[in-house]
Amino acid sequence: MKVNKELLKGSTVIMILTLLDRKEMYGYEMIKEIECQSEGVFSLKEGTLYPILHMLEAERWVEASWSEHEGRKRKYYTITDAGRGQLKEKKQEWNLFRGALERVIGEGHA
Amino acid sequence: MKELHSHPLVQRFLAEVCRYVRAKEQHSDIKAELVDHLADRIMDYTSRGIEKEESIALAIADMGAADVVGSGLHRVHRPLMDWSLAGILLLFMAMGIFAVYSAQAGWPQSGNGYDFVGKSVLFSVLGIGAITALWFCDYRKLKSYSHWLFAIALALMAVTAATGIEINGATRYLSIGSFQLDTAMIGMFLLLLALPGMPPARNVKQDIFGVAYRLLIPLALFHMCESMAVGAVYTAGFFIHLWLTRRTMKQFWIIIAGVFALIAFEGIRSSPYWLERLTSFMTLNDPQGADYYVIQTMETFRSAGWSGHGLGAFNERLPFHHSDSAFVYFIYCFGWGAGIGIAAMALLFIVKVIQLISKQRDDYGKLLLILLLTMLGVQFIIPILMVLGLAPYVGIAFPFLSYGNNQLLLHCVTVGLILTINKRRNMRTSLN
Repeated sequence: MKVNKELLKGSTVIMILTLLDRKEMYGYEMIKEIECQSEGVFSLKEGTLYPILHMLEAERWVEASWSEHEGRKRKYYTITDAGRGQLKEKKQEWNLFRGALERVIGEGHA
Repeated sequence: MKELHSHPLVQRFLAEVCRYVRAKEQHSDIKAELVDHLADRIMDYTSRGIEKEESIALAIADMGAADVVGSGLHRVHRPLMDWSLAGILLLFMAMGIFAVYSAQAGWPQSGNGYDFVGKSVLFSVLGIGAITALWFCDYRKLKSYSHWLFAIALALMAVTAATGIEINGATRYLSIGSFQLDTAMIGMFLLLLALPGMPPARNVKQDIFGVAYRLLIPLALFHMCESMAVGAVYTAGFFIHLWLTRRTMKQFWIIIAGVFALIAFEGIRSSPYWLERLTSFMTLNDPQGADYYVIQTMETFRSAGWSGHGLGAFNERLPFHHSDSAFVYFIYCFGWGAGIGIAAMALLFIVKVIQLISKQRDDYGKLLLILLLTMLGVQFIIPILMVLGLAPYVGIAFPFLSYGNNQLLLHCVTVGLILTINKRRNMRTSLN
């Protein structure tokens, strides 16, 4: 089963920031990682990752640097302190949302 | 995989994406990043035994619609117009024309029929023209001319010091036809515009020569033009630049200590009550001499009350009511509320520019923004403090509110530069 597009949109930023909180990564690596860890549930149109990454860079939540790889230029992203703060905030927001939703749809209590 | 760039399918996809991104500087970044992604994906497919041409087509299909990617990227990298800053500027300019109108109404005989209001309107229009022209320029081109700007500023002030004319007790004007160039202000502006593009203080080989050329010679020239207040604004900019590009803390503090020792020594040697004049506003024990203007200004401010004395109210106490005293005269006419409003607008302006500075990623752009803000910010704050009796009466007029064609145009150019630097905030490339 695939997840609704709108639901995916809001969670992409939090997924990207979480990945980058672990290590420096480049775009394709993130796509593979998200696909793999979500067992194929989150498979976004790959090109749409880049507007999001560039937006994060403009907000200064991530920083980018280029390096050479097999004769190609590769753009690596790292999270900034501001990005970590943002991630923490978004995670809290998500937990609040998830808790409330679970209580309403009745799976939260055993 | 180097030939991937020139594959027709890939080329078409990249061109289609970039067609939506108006910031051309970004195109090579975007193409390089997407090609790297496609190459990885294609390798993934071919390693699973899919034929090369098909892999390329599949990888491009995985990317999604080119217009979605392209317009998404455009939204991030589009030119930015800060409308709130532009709005504050327009409001200030309108207030300025109004203040000049009021000052002229109060003193119809002053200036012998000279049309202050008409001139203010004319120069406001010229200022907006300058801002529009700057909008279409790339500020980064300035960087390579920085040494020239600095030298031209020094030359301009040197010529003024030697041959300039005196207006209101300062030899800081250069006559060109019927127009008087305020070379102290223009010089200060050019020097601060040049500093960000000069080698950072950490790369200056001999600190002594660096400080002499960048600070002591300009200060000597400001002194000769009898505009030390303007020189003080430049000094603030110089030290901020030094701090931001310092080699070590030690370098910064040694230079500060050396410069202040030198200024104090020279000041006391040349005029014994120089320091007294600067600090006497705190005690106000000389109402006939050094403190005269401070006392008059504070008294005018006190008598304004909440309601003010109305448009064009007469006040014989104030010197230079349409220039250096414009802010307090505005309050005298329209009351304390108007003064608070203007001060709030100035603070809002400063806060807005600080926000833009914190978002700027280009080092040169950031330094420029900081020095431009220093220049305007000091000129906003000193007159406000002066009215409250917290700063000495020095020749610094409130930007936009006071009459002065040179200054109006300069301040417009300053705001125009801030807007055009911010425009490119997200347009810059990170790929070299």
